[in-house]
Amino acid sequence: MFDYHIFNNKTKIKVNFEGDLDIEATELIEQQLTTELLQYQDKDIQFDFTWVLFVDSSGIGLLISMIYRLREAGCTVVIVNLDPEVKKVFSLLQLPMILGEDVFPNF
Amino acid sequence: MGRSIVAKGTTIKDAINTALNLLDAMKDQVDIEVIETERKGWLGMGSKPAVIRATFRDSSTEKDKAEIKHPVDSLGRLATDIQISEEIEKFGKMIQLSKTSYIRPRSKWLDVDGKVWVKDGQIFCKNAPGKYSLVTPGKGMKFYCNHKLVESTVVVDENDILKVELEDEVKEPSWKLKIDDSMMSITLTITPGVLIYRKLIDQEPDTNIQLKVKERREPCPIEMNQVLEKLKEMKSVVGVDYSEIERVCQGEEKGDFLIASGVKAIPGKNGYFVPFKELSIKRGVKERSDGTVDHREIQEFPSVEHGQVIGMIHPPISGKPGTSVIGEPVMPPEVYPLVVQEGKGVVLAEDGTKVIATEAGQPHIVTKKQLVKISVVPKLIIKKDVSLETGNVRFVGDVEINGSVQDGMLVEANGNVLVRENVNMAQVNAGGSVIVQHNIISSEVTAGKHTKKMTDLLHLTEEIIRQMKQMVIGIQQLSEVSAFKVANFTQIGLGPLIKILCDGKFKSFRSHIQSLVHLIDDGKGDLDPEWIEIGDRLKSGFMTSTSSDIRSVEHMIQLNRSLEVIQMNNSISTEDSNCFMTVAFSHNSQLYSAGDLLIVGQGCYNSKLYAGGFIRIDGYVRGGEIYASRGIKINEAGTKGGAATIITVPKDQTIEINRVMEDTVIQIGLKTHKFDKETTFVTARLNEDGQIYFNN
Repeated sequence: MFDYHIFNNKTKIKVNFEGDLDIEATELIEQQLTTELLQYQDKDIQFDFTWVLFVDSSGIGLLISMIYRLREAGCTVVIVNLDPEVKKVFSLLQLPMILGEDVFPNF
Repeated sequence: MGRSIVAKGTTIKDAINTALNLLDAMKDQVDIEVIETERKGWLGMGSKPAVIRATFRDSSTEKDKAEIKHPVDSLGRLATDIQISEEIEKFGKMIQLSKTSYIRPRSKWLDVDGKVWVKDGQIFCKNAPGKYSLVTPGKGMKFYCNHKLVESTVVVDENDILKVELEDEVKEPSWKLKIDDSMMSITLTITPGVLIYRKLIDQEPDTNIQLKVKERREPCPIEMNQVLEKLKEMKSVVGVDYSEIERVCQGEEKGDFLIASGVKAIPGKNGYFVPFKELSIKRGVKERSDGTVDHREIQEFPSVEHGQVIGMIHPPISGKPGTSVIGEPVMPPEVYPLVVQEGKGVVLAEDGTKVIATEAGQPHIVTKKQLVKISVVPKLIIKKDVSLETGNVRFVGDVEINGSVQDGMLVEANGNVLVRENVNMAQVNAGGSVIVQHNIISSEVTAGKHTKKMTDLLHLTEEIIRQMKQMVIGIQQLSEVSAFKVANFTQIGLGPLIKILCDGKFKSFRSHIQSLVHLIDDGKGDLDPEWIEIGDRLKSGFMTSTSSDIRSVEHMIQLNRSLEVIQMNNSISTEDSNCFMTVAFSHNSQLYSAGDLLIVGQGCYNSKLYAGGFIRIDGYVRGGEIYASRGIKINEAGTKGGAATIITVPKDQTIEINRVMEDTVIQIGLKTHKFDKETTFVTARLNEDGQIYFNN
């Protein structure tokens, strides 16, 4: 199960994720979330991972593509509040290197 | 005479001190007479103690002396009389003391006054007025004087009860049996035992003796039956050397002794191929019938006729099993038959033992472990020049050109190429060797193009295997993190994960896979089916835009294993690069040989030469670059003014040049050297410090 909530204050867009970032979340992320976020050009977007406890490769793959697309649209993205285990996964996959260290403040 | 005592000691001083102790006197109360000085001996033998006589010197000395002259006892009898009667008394006592009926010569009896001696293990002593006998116990004994243990020198009296306790010793023998790991021998380790009997050595009468023992050693043999019992327990049945066991048990040798051996298995021989005549040319040199090598260049390639027997396949010969030392059979290594893959133009006859050519051409024999591929490669003979008239030549077998290869033409052959005239501004690519009997001018000639290709394929394969191994480890690590969902692999395949990994740690992986697949596609005609298959698997695993074929980590591991098998099957041994190139003269050209490269005529001018083997230039080298993996030998190198000549070999090889002109550069490994003047007979290599050194 996966869900998200978007909070827009003037300075940045906060997106809270909830649930498992996996294959079943694909549709939701690809179609709904990305489209919604692409409305906001040149904005600062923050993905909050506090309530994300499980990830799989498709989920991460999608996350990466989404972040690329958002960047193309001029946005900057940061990821915060990673669960330690999820952080391990990101680390093994070298996501900070792929996406850039600035995406992960306080990694 | 005052009381005197004879004392012995290591030194005179010691002797004196001993005497003083025994007399209970001070130094100034005695007179010292040195009877014998100590002798140091040599290497611990032959040393002798010092002997002194210490005589009491008291106030009554003079008086005593006077009296002693004619001593008279209380009865008024003259001393001399007393002496005689004393002798008779002595005689009596003597018979009492000695326990044997040994008759001593009279003179000896008289000699025993104040002396002590050892006989048949007993200590005897005879008192004498004013004289004291001393006994010192020795090692290996317990000396009791009047039932008291004495550990140093004592004065003894004929009435003392003197006893010596000697200890016999028994050192038990020990033994151990051990079977070696291969179960082929049993060793008996023996520490022999010994019985030591000790006996008191007889000593002649003396005033001062040190008791000594002599040891008699007898071997304490081992019970052979015990050893045999143990062998039975160990189930040893084969190859027991009983006489050796007996010899060793009874002997006095310490050590390890082989007492049982199994019978070694005799290895057999794998099946093998024997050609009927020398069918392969090694490095372009001819072998004379007496086996010596003719360094003249080969000018022809061998060929067979239709129906000719190329060679024979010999079946494997099984080995003979042996027996382990506990009676179990020991199998010899397995033998394998030679598997013959009949290539084109070859047929097996007589139940697979004879290999016969069905076409005329050159025999090609490729051996890989227990597999041999034999084919007869037909020869294409072009009776004139290769020109616009004949068109480019592409042939699977060997090509023989009786003329030249002219401008802009291409000759491509999988086998060997022979050009009897020249190659002018053209390209010649041979899978095998190349002989150009005259000149190569402004052309590109390759011998062993397959080796080059195979080298590239293997290089990529190696890199991919290595990276895939790391990838597998990475994925396994990932699977262990609780937050990572592994079950989804079967559902979605490893595709997305591999993609992420390739964006991250494994950036070059994807391009390597692409290059390898590309090479395989390119060489489809020449490569073995195993390459085609692995190419397809790699494509569907890593290069699909749809989901990857790889559904689990195990799957990836298997794919990697298949790659390793291909790598092993195709490893280029030194035997394989038998391709060579022999040319008379090269001008302004590029020559590549997977094996050796020989320039047998004038030499080469402004050319780039590359050899996987050895380069030998009988003439001159002017300008250009020369590289050989296994060493270079040149007659003359360098130009008088003009383009530089660069000669390179790897760090472990040698460059030999008979005459080097100035400005020529040689490079060994990473070190270069430029000659600043003309030098002759140069042999250059790297020394232990990695510097170029010459020994002319």
